[in-house]
Amino acid sequence: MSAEYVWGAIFIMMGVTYISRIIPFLLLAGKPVPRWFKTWLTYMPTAIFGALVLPDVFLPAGSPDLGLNNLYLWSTVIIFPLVYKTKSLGLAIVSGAAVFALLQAVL
Amino acid sequence: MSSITVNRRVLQKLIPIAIGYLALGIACGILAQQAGLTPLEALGMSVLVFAGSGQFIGIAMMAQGAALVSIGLTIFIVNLRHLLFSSTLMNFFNGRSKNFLIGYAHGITDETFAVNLNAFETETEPRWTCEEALGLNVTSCAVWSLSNALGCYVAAYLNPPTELVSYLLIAMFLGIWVNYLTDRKMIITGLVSGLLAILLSQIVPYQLHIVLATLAASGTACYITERHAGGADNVR
Repeated sequence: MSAEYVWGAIFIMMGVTYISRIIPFLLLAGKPVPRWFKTWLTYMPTAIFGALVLPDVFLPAGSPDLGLNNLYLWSTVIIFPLVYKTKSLGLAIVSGAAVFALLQAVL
Repeated sequence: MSSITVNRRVLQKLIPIAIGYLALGIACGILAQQAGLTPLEALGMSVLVFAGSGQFIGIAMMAQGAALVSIGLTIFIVNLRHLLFSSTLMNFFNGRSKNFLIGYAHGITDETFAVNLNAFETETEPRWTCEEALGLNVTSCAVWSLSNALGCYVAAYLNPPTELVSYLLIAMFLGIWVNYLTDRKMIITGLVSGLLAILLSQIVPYQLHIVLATLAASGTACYITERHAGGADNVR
């Protein structure tokens, strides 16, 4: 692949990605924000992470997989109670890695 | 006064991100090499774009010789969710100079957003600062970029456990997500969003399901809350 093509693609990717990152900061910064918008923002994190986690867990390869082979699903099911109780990020990662590796070895 | 801080707190928070980025970055670098990119190009892409899923998709499209316009459009849509991240983080950057915002925006990714948001909301004595957030972004980008370059360089000799590492990132998101599941409304919103995302992923292309599900679920929750607000008891 020619260098022009690759770098052209890189700069275009940079540009389009940057647009989504910077627009809210530039458009909305400094202006008074309506209350409903603030309320909306309080629900964003739980919605965002729900939308990021659940598909990855239930559709690891793009289509629904509830079988035993879906280690993402079963690892999550196993560690969820612990993570929910402790709310610990470190524990989530360590237990997640341990359970996943264990399931990988066993199944 | 410095505009960026990299202290022990920042480095501590960097660790889970670094582990994930190290392995995923090497995998991405390997992919880049297989697609025909040089380590310098892999490094350049990682520093300038700094977007995991976007880079994986972009590399695949380049390998197929896709038109630059197609690549631009696809990556734009795939990364649209950053709009949500910036909007959510805006609260903590009041009064910052445009230059600072521009510098900060570069490093917004799923992972730096997750950790920085969590830090802004939970760290006390002292509170998480914008300078530390920027420090986290920059160090994360450094780890990501160097991992990509490394992976591209040693492509033939490594075999990273990509499945395990992908799960580590999911576990990290899970760990942060539970912090927001504080009452029934939050839990329901999160679950509805996730279910919607699952459904939409089968219908809608370009990873749009994440943005659409998030907007729909959070928008509905907001609507319901605002309907009950304004004098009436706010049910929690």
